[in-house]
Amino acid sequence: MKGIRDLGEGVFRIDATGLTHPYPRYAYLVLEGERGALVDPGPLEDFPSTLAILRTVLPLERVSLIVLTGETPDACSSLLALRREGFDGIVLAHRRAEALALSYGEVPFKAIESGDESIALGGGRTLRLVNVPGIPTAGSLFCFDERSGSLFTGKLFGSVGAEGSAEDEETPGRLESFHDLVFPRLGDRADIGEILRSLKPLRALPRNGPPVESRLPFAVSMLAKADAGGRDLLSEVARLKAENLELQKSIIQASDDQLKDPVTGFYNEVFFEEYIDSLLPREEGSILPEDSVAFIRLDRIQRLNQRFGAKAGDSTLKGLGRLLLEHKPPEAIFFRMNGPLFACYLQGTDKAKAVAFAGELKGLVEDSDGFVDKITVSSAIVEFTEIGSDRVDSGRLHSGLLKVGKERLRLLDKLGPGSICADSEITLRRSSGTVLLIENNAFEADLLRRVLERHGFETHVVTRGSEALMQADLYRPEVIVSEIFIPQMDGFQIRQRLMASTDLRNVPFILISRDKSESSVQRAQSLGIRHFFRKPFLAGELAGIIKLLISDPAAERRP
Amino acid sequence: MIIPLAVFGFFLAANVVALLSLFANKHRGRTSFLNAQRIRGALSDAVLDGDFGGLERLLRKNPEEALMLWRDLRTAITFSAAEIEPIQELFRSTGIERMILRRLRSGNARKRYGATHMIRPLVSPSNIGSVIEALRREKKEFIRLSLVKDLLASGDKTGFDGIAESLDGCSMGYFKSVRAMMASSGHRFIGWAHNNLGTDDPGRVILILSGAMTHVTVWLKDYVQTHLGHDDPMVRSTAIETAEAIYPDLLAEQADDPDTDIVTRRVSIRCLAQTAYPLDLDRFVGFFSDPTVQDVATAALTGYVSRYPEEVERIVSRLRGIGDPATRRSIASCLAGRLPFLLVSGDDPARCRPIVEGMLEAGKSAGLIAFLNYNRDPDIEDEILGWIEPYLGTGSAFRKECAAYLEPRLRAELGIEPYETPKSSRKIPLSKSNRIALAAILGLIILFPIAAIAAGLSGATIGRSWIVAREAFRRFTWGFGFYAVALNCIYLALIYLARINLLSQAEYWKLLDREYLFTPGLLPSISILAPAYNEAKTVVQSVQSLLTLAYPDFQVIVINDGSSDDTMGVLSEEFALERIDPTTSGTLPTAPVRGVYRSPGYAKLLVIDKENGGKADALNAGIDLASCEYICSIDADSLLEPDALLRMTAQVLTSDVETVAVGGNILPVNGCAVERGMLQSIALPENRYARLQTIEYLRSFIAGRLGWSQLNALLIISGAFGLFRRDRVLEIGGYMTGRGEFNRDTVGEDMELVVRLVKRMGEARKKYRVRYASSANCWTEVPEDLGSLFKQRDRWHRGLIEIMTWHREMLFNPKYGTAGLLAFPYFLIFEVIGPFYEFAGYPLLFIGFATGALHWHIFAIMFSAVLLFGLLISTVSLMLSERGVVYFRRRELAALLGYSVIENFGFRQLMGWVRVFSSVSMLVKNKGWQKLERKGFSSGPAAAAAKP
Repeated sequence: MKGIRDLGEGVFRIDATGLTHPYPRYAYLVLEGERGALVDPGPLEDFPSTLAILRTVLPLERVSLIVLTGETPDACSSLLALRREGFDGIVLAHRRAEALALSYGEVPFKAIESGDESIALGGGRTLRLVNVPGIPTAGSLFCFDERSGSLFTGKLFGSVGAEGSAEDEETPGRLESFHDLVFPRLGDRADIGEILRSLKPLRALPRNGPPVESRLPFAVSMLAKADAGGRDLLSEVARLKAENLELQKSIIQASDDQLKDPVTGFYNEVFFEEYIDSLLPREEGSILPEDSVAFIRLDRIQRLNQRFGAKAGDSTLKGLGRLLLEHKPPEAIFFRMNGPLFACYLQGTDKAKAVAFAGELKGLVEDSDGFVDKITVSSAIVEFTEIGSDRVDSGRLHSGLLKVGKERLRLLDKLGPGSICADSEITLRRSSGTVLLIENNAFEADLLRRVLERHGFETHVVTRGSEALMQADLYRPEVIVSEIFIPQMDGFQIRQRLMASTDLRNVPFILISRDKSESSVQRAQSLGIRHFFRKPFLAGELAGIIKLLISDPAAERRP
Repeated sequence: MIIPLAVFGFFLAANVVALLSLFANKHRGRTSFLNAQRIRGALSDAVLDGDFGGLERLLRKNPEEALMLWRDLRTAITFSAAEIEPIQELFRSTGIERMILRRLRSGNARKRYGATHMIRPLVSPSNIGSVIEALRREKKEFIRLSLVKDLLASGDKTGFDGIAESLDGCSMGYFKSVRAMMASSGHRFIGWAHNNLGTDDPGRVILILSGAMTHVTVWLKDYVQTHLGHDDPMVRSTAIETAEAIYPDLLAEQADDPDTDIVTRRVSIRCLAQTAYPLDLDRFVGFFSDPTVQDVATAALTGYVSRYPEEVERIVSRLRGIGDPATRRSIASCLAGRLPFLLVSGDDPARCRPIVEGMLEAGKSAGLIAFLNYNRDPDIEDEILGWIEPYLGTGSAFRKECAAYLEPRLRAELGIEPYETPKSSRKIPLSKSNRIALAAILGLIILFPIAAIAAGLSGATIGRSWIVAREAFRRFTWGFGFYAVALNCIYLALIYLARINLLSQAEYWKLLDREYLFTPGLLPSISILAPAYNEAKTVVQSVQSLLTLAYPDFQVIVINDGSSDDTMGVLSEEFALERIDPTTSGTLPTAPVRGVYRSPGYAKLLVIDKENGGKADALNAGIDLASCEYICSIDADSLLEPDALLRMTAQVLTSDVETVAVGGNILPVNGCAVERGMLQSIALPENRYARLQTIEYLRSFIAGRLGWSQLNALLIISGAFGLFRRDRVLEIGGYMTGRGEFNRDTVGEDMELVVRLVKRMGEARKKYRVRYASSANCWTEVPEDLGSLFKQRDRWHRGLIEIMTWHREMLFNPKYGTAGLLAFPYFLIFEVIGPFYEFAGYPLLFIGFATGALHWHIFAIMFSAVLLFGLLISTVSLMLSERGVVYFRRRELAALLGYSVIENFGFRQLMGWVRVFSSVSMLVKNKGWQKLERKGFSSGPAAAAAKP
């Protein structure tokens, strides 16, 4: 539940997200007299509500300490914002976490060097910070509040679960798998157990789970008990996870890269949000500048990846980035957003000018020969003034921009590649139906998709049997067109599985194949397939049949 | 001083060059891939948007490639003439048409073949004459078929005239293929046929009759009828075939006409059972007393019963009135499949007595025993036991069957002693002559290096003279060096041949588009044989994956080789198997077959359930049941790429010489991501032994297989994926097992089969080909620990030595062509004797260098010749194996190259020593001929010579 909770003895839990098991994110506040210490203030995205909640108990200026239990952005990326809002104390963390913490801005930082250090909070209350090398998150610390017997464990014990919850029987299994993931080596676990025993905490307060109190001894014992080797799969996952962590770390350590997209070298989405919000006028009630943002999206990146290999998308984005830079007007700043999307902030540019600019870019891209294949970009334009005052007032300009922008990007999907959308109210040429095309040959699939799209069908292509079922479930197509020879599951097997589903069994199924023989036709009929085209078939004929099936579904679905 | 440096430098430089070209090759592959994609994009733009700019630009650079891609597009999806014509015009304007027509007259068969495929999208009334002319001139059948396809695809009426003409005096194979290909004749066929109704020319008549298979009109029916009794046997057989498929009523009349010839009568009986309802039983029973048609009548009635189950009772009641025992037996066997149903339905089980008796008299007791085993109704049980009592006389076949398969309780009731089915004897003593031969060979082999070591060491230890020792060392080293260089030179020559082979295969594959390959009647049918032993966990996925292979005409036969787990149960559940009465045509002796099953949902699937007898035995059972032209043996756990079968038979399709066997490409699946029996991504194995094997496999596939296959001397086709002509395999008695004519078991049954095939073809003085399909990939698990690796290699080597000993008369025998003159001697010298050399050679080389007995000059030369030369082979093999297909990423390639260096320090020697150990242990322990305890079969290429 969102809000603050008194855990007793001056310890408060701040829940800024309201997320429940298994993904909660908690910050903790230890209050002594008029001073307070904040443990793991949390990521930037939680910051506004964290701050609001915190302020109900204590002004930020009175927080004298911030403790980070690990070197991970989602524990501390709000540092800079805290600082900006008036935090005036010291940040305490392991030496390893220094670079990361400082990358969020200049804050007074005290590194914990040795294994165990006590920090006075005032009023005779001290926090003990103990280094825990066994937890694979770099720079992990336990923070122990002796007065209340609370141990802030970071991510450890997050999976133990709520006290007295009904899941007691499952807990050992869950813990075991968690431990296998996080502590693949027994020696390290034993190490953690040792520290826990020496501290004798009354309760553990994990950053990502409910407090562990009565079940703490049990959880500690599970640490030692859980089998070292783990199951093969789990240890494999753990290895991957560790690799992932390494990777994350290496990205993070270069603090500059933190805000930049590795592919294009542009500022990333995180920075975009901060930057946009920083543009908000300081005084209340003043009007927004006439600036605009253009979201520029590379169209059909999946097709590039499918045709030219997985790296083609990235290299095209990189090239596109270069092209954008070459033609950058002085008032523009580019950002790379998640996915094949760029954002371009245009200072002092109203919507009409921004649309003209997007049109220019579109032409430039389409004329360029520098990419593996012909590419197009679609743009969605949003002017600042279009953003509702509620968002502006709450200081969340970026989320308003993104919301409107994404809405228009979705409209672009319907308008087709190479379009520009600056208005959410436009009327769309309605798609005449959705078709799922299951075809393994990329060339044929691509061609057929284009044919069907030309006839106005929204077409989704899948190349593998297992995907087919998932996508059919996702898109709920009106018609399914499938080749027989599909790896993993042939067309017949796909049909068989579809028949087992109550709502997909009635979707008309069209077979296209070179193998139209007596036996395959027989099998098709036994599966209730009424349309079987032998390749090569006339493109228009297939489209016509699909149109008929969609316009008069009753004729097909009667049985 | 200069010589060693020069040698060293030479090999080093060669390695660097190879390395550079390896990566350049990779780059080139990527470029041509991108280029093809651009052309594809431009073609779609042209046909869909009428935007020709891109295509025009690309056409200037590579018109041929664009034409092939254009053909691919048109054979998948067609568009209106208005959309297609401008592009056709564009292609014609490049002048490529004239070039292709010129190529059609080329003296080089491969060029001509390429031209026949390239002209297909461009055939038009203006150039169809040249194509017909080419067909008239062409001698090679596989090229002629491609030309026929051109004429059919053109949709021009004159094309049929050309095809009809080509049928004059053609071979049976060509005749059959053309007849089947007529199924894809277009709508213009009707007009042409109508114009030619009056003609007597047999070619045209045959063509009209074949086309009538797909075009149904009243006048064509009359035409078929008038030709049923034609004098020309080819015309007649075509008419009968069409009539049976489309107009069975035409023939049904003639079923009991004594004047009709026997072939027509047999077909007519089938047609009668197909068309008549209800069947006139009195008339039909008459066929059973005629021995010439009795078998057809049985099959036809069985089909009738399964089509119309309601007719069963009528036939049962008819059965009572038949006195002739032979007739009764035959009709009873038609009803055998329905017996359980008949027994439990209706009030009078006694009416089934004649069926049971008939079945027992016909020797078809398996179904009855199965019924008794699961029946729980005591009344029916008592009744049946009473009926079968008279057939249980001592020594009767039925008694034996009961003893082996009947439930113990029933067996006790009937007073039958339990009886173990005779298993094939697995310990077969080595015959005297074989042992002498083997001893002589091995003796000679072992003597030489031992003598060398002894001479060297004795000289040193006795202290007679250091110089003598040094001399001995040096001599041996030179000998060893000579051996290594000779071996590597052979590899180099083989690699050269492999390159030729690979390029021609790649070219052919590029020519053959799916549309052509899926032309009815063009590719031979294939029975995939998948023996399974205790594979309950994986068998369903493997079979599902096999059923999704892309191939026009194939069946999958799973053989459950007496698994002790629930392999049969899971299959039965997944595919809802139904027991059928098999009609095996083969005659191979195997362990008893418990039952044959089919799946109602999967027409391509058959399952054989049999007693355990080993892999070769299981395969033989499959060969017996198989009904296709070729059989394809695979391991149940090996993973085929979807187009693997097509790539294999592309080898059969592109030559007129009979292709008796085709080997597939085996690659280690360890490390690759596999999901639902399909390869998701290819990656190097994590395990280092598996990585070392990857290098070995790639090298052996280039140097060991493709090269030899170019010489037509390929003797190794892995049991994990191999294609064989079924009739030839039956001719030589199938795989070697402890049963039947061979009475001996081998651990290398796959290589043994190929050797015997080659031997038979050589003895019969027939032309044949044994091919290796370079990209027909089969991914299989390789051992990841040394223990299993040793066991596997030990098995391979034993197999090799067994085969070399049994078939030693092939050695240097010109009767067996290149296989006898080149491959056999190679195996003897480098695969059997070689390891002994290496066994002694590597240590001696280092000892010599360390003790100073060898001058460093010599060491350097040796080092270059052995190591750097070997490395060169690996690099070049890697380069060739990546031709046209991408297996590995750059980083993985680099890792593989690293491993090909490392393997020289330990791994190769180790593998060599395993062979020495196998050779020696075969003699010393004298258990060489006994099959390993294992009764199942692990995967892996049984090829002894995976290691080049």
